Amino acid sequence: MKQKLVVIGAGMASGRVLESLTELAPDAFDITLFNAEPRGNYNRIMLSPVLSGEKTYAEIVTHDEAWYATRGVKTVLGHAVTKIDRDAKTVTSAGVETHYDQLIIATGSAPFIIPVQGHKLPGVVTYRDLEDTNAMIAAAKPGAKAVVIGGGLLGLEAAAGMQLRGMEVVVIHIMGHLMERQLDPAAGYLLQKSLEARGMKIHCKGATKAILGHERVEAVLLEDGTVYDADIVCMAVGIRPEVRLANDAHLDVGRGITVNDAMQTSDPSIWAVGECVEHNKQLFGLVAPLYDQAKVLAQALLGQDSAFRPVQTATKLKVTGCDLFSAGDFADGPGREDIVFRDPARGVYKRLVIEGDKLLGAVMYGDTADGNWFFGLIKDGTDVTPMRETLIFGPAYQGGAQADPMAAVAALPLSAEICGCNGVCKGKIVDAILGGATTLDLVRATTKASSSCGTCTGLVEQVMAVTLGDSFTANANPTMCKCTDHTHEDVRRLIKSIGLKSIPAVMQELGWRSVGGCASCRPALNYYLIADWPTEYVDDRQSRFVNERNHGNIQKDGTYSVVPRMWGGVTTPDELRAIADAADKYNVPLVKVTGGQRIDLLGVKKQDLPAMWQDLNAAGMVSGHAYAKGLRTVKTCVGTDFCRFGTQDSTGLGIKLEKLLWGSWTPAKVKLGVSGCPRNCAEATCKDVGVVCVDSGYEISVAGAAGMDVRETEFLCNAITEAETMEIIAAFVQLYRENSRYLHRIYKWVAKVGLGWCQEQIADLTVRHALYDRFMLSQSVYQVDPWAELTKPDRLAQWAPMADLSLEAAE
Amino acid sequence: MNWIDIGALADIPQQGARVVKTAQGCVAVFRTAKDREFAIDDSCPHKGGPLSEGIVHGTSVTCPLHAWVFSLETGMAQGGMKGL
Repeated sequence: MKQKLVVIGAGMASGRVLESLTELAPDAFDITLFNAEPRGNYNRIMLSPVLSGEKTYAEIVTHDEAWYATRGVKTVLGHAVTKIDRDAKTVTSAGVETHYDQLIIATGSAPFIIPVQGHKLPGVVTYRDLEDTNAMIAAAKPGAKAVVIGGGLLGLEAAAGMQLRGMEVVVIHIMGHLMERQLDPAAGYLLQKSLEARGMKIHCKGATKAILGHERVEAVLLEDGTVYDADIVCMAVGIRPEVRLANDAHLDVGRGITVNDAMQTSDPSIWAVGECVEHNKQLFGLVAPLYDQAKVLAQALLGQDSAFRPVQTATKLKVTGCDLFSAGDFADGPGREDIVFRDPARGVYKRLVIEGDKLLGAVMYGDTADGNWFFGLIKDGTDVTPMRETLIFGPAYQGGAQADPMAAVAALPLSAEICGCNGVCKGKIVDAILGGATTLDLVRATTKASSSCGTCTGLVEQVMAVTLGDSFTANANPTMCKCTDHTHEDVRRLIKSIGLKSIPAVMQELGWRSVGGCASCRPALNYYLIADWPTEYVDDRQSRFVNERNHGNIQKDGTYSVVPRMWGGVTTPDELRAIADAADKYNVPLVKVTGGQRIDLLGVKKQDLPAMWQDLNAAGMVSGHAYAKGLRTVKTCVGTDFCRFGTQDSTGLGIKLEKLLWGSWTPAKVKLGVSGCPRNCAEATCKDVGVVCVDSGYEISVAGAAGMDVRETEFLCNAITEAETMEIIAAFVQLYRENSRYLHRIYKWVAKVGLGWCQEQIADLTVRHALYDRFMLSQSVYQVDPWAELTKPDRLAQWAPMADLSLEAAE
Repeated sequence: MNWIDIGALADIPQQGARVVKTAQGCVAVFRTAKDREFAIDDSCPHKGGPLSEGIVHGTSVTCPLHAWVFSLETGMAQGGMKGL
């Protein structure tokens, strides 16, 4: 004989149980369904579109009479079950007793009602079922006033629905921002702005004191004295599990009906599912876990092993025009880190919460296209470390698709930001192109994209190529080298955005055509990686040009030059003696004073380098980096100590600057000059960075040159103190290190990005401090004397021939 | 054939070279990223630059003085320049 199964409640969870059960074992049970609402199962979460008029009730019914009939499910609708007799195994409804072998309680939840004065007045509704919905629809005459108490998911859906019906809507929310369980304050604020822009009134931190009215509701009074007129009041302040029946039957009940992993209550023949249950002290309100429960329950009833394991859930607000998504846990906490993307002008906000190597939560507003992808990462506990740098940009920026930059660009949504300086998104560029801007210059002129720092030029061109197809002819900006189609700017950007941290990774991910690159791209990539990942990337010596690998300038005969550092051009008799001794000892053919105020020992054989360096090290000198794409010299005049015109201690400042900056690798060589007065004896105004001391402080100018091009520096800013001068210069050098293409001197780079942009960056104290901090972080790794490093015992052997067969051959 | 031990593979850095001195001049012994070894005259035919100090990429080396590129497999200069 078939077992008798009684189901109390026709909600979404029990609907899914019936579906699973009748599918898995159509004949296992004799099923009776009781529902207090005079109807069967419908998709409750679609009540919002019904309220707003976007859908009809008929469209959201999930199980109609025919569905029950074909599956032999008896339905008792419109009558609540009032009693469960566990001893007799019966339920009572409208005075009639029905026997059960197995009982499912799916009573769902009841809306929470704030027991303020007037809460029972006609016109006060909750937002739970079709009756509530219809009451709101009935009140919806154009110009009618609605007050929604509760700015959570449900309340906002009710508010939006009534507004779409033509009502004036006020939302009163007790918390500081909307949807505080799903959104952080920033996203809540954006949501509020957007709803207000659509004419809704939002009152946060509003506590309801009373609902006013005589025969029916007329107004809502808040604790702060505010009164809002109301033709209808919708209370959507929360729900609680409906457990009265279970309580009366003396089942174990906490906040909800307690169930085990199989959804079984404390009575083995009674099961529970849906919003009324409490599993592992947790309640459930969203539909995904309810469906999981339903499946588990159906299997358990059929004697199959099955256990409910709650998974993370995601929320999307079903309000037309508000794109909002949240998933997982996004509360602040120790060990948790945030990645935030914010574009207030477009109303886009994304926040990812990461703990360790896992994504814990995601909140997105305005652009939720990648929500499900993030949700997947949260659910799967994916290790996000390798994609962390571009994580927030979504799946289009991850993985293999990068090999084809065009595909990645084509995959970007129209709202994706292309030009960070001017906040230009892809859609705007596409519109401009379709509107006739078919050259880069025209796109720049119409959209401003790529017209500031220029680092997005490659991307803009790719958008043009994607949009125009074959009719696009590029490409003013040459590629990095023949190994790749990317420009230097693209490569720098992609290294950072994809998080590429080795030369092979760059070549692999960016589709290098050659094996191992070439002598042009390898040093550039090595530099970019050093500059972008100072603490993670390890300098690849074999990708260095010979001068930087051997720390000396190679001469035409294969010998090298040795230049010890003379801080600020100041030396001592002892240093000079040591230099003279070294010149004698190693038969240096030429000793010359350089333009950077130091002494060059030219013509040193490679195998003599280490011993000579050790001698100079012993005398307290370090490498002058006279060969490096890095800080070379700081030329100074004598300043106040001796000069009768000097206004500041230019020599002292020069020494301090050199001690601050030495050892740093830069895109091309960097030379400084510090002059103690405007007579400018240190020729500071044709250096990469020049300081001219004046009575009131320091004039800092940049982008000079005295080589193939001769240029006077341009004024960057003034500084009052030495400390400020040093911070500004370190920050500026870091700005150059992070943004310039390899081998561009500062003057070329400034010409490209614009002095104004540099000034803005340096003037913004937050930016300046961050640049300075990043510079110092890099210095903590790279400010080392290569002479000392390369003459350590384990590294000495490499300076000699690996074998000398000249004698053997002679035998 | 008479073999002479000049050292271990580990003595040469990957993507690098070391020099072996001989009575006929220096020989540059290269090790590629994939641990293939090559030996060529350590003197660029252009101006005598030390090829052992060049950047090794794939199975090619670029001379440090004037950036001529040579195939380590054939010894030929790439890109229209004259070979070894």
